[in-house]
Amino acid sequence: MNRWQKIAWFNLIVTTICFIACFILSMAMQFKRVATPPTPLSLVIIPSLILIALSKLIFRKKSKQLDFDERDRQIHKKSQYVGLWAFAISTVLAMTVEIMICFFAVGPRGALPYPLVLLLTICAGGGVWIAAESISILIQYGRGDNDESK
Amino acid sequence: MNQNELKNQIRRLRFEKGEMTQQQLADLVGVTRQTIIAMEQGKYAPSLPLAFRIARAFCVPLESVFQYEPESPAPTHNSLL
Repeated sequence: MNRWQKIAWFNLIVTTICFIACFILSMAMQFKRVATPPTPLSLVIIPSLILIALSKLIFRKKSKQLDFDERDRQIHKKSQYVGLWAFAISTVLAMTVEIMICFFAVGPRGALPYPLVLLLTICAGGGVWIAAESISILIQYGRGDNDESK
Repeated sequence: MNQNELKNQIRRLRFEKGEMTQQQLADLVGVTRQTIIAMEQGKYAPSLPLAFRIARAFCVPLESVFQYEPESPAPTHNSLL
């Protein structure tokens, strides 16, 4: 497993844990009737974003050996497209789900605070972007990486 | 281009070149070992400059390393006239 695969696994795991924690936290807040969800949610989201931003430092290049070539560049370029598309689709989906939740839970005249909607949409989109990019990287590397012969 | 259409002799040439390891070839041509593995398995079609660097590393012409075998033969100049 090369450095980029390790980073992709790390980002995927952090994103998945972040999604699960946000879901559990949202459910808990719903049952406990806590009125300010963005604050506890940010306690999960912000550390996750910091971890993802630091992933390249955590998995540092060990030796002076080359670890990025034309194939890596091609894989990363394709994965960025996949991530961007996933972000666009998930943002639209997240908006739709939020509007539906607002309509069915609060009623046709109900309203959600817009900072909360914006935060949830961007976080969901960003999380899906990172997860989709990581999965795409892992799949593309997985295709030609199972030969251990020297 | 379908990557299955591009065959290569990298593995054979490595062994003919004194049991050269994938890492040694990777260092010679300036790529990672994973790229050499992917090329040997026919899962990655290299760029033209990389293909030339590999041929040069083995001191053989490009056609001795890579062979293009299309599923349907390409039309020749005469067949187009």
